[in-house]
Amino acid sequence: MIETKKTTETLLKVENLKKYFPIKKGIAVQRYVGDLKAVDGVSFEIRRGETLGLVGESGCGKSTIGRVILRLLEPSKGKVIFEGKVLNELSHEEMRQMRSQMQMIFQDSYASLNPRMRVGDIIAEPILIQGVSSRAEREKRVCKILDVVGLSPYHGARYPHEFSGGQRQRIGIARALALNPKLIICDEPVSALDLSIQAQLINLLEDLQKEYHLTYLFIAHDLSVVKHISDRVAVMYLGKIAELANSEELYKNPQHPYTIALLSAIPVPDPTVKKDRIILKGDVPSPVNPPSGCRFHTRCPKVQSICKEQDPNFRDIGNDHFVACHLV
Amino acid sequence: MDQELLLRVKELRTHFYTDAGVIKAAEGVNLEIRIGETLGVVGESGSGKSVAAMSIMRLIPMPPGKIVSGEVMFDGKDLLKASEDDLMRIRGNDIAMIFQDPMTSLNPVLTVGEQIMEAIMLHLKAGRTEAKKKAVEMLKRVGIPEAEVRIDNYPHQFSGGMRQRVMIAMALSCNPKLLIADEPTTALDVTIQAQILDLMNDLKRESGTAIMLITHDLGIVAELCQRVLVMYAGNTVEYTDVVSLFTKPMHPYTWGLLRSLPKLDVWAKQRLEPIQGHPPDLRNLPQGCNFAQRCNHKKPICEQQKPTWLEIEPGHFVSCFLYEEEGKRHD
Amino acid sequence: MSTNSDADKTLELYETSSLFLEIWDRLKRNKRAILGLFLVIFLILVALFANVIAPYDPVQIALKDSLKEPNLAHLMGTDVLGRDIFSRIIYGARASLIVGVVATSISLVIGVIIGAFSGYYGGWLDSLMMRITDIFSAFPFFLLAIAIMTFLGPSLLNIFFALGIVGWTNYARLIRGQVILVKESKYIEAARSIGAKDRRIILRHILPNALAPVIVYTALNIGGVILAEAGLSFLGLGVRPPAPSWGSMLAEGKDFIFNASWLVVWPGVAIFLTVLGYNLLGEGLRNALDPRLNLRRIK
Repeated sequence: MIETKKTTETLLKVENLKKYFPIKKGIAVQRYVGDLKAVDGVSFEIRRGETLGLVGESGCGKSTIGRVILRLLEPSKGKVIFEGKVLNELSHEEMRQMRSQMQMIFQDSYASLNPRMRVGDIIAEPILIQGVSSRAEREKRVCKILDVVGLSPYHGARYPHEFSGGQRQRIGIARALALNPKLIICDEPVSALDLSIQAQLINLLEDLQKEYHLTYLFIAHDLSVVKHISDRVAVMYLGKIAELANSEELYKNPQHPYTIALLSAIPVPDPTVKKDRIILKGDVPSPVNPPSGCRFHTRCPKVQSICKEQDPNFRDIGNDHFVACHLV
Repeated sequence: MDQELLLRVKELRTHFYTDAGVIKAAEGVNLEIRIGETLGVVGESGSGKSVAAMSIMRLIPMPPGKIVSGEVMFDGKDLLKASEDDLMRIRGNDIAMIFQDPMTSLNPVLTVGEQIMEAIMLHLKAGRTEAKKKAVEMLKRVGIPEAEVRIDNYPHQFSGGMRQRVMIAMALSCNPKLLIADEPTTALDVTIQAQILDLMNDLKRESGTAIMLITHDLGIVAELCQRVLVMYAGNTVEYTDVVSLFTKPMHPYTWGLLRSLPKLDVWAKQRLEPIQGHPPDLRNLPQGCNFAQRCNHKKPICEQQKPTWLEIEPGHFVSCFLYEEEGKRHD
Repeated sequence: MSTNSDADKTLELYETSSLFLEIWDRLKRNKRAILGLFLVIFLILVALFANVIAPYDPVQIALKDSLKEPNLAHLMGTDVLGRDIFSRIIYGARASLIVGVVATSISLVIGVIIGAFSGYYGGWLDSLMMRITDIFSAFPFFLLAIAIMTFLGPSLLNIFFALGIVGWTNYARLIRGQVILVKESKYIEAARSIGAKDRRIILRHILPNALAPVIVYTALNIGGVILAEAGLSFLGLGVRPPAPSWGSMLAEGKDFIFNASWLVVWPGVAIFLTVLGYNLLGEGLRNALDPRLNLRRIK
């Protein structure tokens, strides 16, 4: 499974990233009442040519990380370093140019395509912004990209609503590809799609990665999809990374109790397998007032007294496997 | 075997008449549910699984919808011929339903207690105090902590998982014979989904309610269901017990579905094998088999005629020309 | 998937059509919108060519012809001063149209500027502007117009001002809401992620998606303004007599409603058809401007 082009060279590094959203209350005078800690101290790196999966339940902050990396949101603290450049220190104009190197594929392909633009114009827009002013040249490239993502040139003349969900997601991928980026952040790109269409798109993403030497940050909640596509996987819980390891290692040898519970919760499509499921009690606590110590302690089946007091370090336990748990 | 039969749907057709043409949302639905059994209905969006369920309940908005033909025998009665009064008694009492999004199916301005009590008072002809006692008991049964207090809360004060528990409590409060659950866990996170599936399994064991579980997740089918119905573009294409479906599926669409599934227990990096193409436009269905366009095994006849619903092996029904010669007619 | 001929058709469309043509294409499929469009164009033509169409001078008094029933010489009869009603209706169309278009344009410009700034920049600017808007809309629309007209005195110029000034609040609210809504949509985020500059985002992504309801509202509003002008003129606060206006014709005819009903029927019909025309057109535009609406109706 290890392909030659995958290196250990770091493409993107995230250091102690935090993103707090202030919560305000009141009608006339807005009063600050606290922070929603969407991302609360996250560090990881993405290596050139790999796919890093980022999984977690809704509200764990995984989508926020993608947006902070692209600076669609400004981080509250911490750094994002892309090819040695600290993105947060770039001016708006520098960052704008940097965006051609890192692109995003959105979950809701319908909402992320301007309904009043033709698909051809949507895909041509980034090329235009990049400075290709010849219309003929842009159209040539649009046709090429449409072909690459499995659509036909005549599709360029249509509006987004005339397409099915799977086709729309291909359009979103085409737009992201138009600038030949190095990194693509895929924010739940296949979650809204039916199984057979989902498989088509996963294959497409894999093919594109090989052909254009792309690096993916693949954000999703579906663990089987993430396992299939990722080289390494990070598991997030309430704004922090609980565990990060090589994909096979994580699924075969999960260390964090949350990862273990998450894996055991996936229904297996095989009626002959009867597995012991770890059912976590209760709901995910609010990110406004996260639990003290380890954030998972309120639901952890193995909780100890230290877990309630101290926040565990995110440390290497060997074999490129990182865990944030006192018990490991 | 027949006295165990709770629900039998035969050749159900439901169409929607719109400006843009007739949408054949259900075009030949056949299924059977036995007492106390869980039937999984799988299929992609637009396959007609929800429309089939709504047609069984006769909850299709008319117009634009219309149940064109078919038979829905529930507990000895044909629901398609039943009077509106009979249906009102059956809905909620004998057949209950839960939906994907519990927030939109709960009334936001009434407390959950009032909503459960309403159902109980209506269907079990109980008084207020009795209904409230029963409501608290139901909320406890579905695992809502501090049920006595929570009963006076409004739906928005519950999390998604808790709301789905409330819906289940409401649906089961009248001891229905059949529970139709339309994607009950799709909107929930994996760990919460595990809680709800676990709960549904427990409740089924205790109450003996039959469940028609509509889902797109084959994992849920494998874990919860005894029988499975596969639907594609308004047709039922395969119906069998759950083990056969996974060990010897017969319809090419089922093969395709199982192959496009990313597997958790396979370590070698391998490519998925998706079904090529897209489902047909329901306004403009092909002359032959609806799946023929995407099928790798199609024969000339597949593009000319509709396949018939055949019992290939006892209890294993398929609608595919690959089995036409050897299959016997199911009447 | 689509057939080949379908593909050819779309390709052709791509090469030849403009946005306008597409909207027209969708509009012409709507029978009621076409009726509305027909009425509106008819009104415009009548207003433009009033001097050609009208058989008589609309202000020419001919007391010997007073209160003639509709006949061949006077198709709609004559009023108490013997003026030809048909001619007065035709010239009245001119007044109505000018008031409708000019007053609406004034409202539109004020409203779009205030609404767009409020919505786009938000914060205290938004609060301030919206409070001003609230104050304006706290007065009943028509009452405010009456007050302004009473203060300024009846004249065409003052009607523009009065109806323009009372109408902008709705535009401001509409635009502001739209801009806020569109600003938050995912495709704006997508546009930012491909490095689009603010100007491009506003012109290419926000405005086209925010303006549709405004165009619709404008069409509906012209009808409303024409009605308001008729109302003001009816009260003697509009177009200065003897210049013909449908509203003042109604006012003059109201005393004769039982013995000479044609005095009120014809201006009434004219007002009705005009307002109906703009409303049907507005509604048709709403459907035509939104490429998704056809789809939504199916679901």
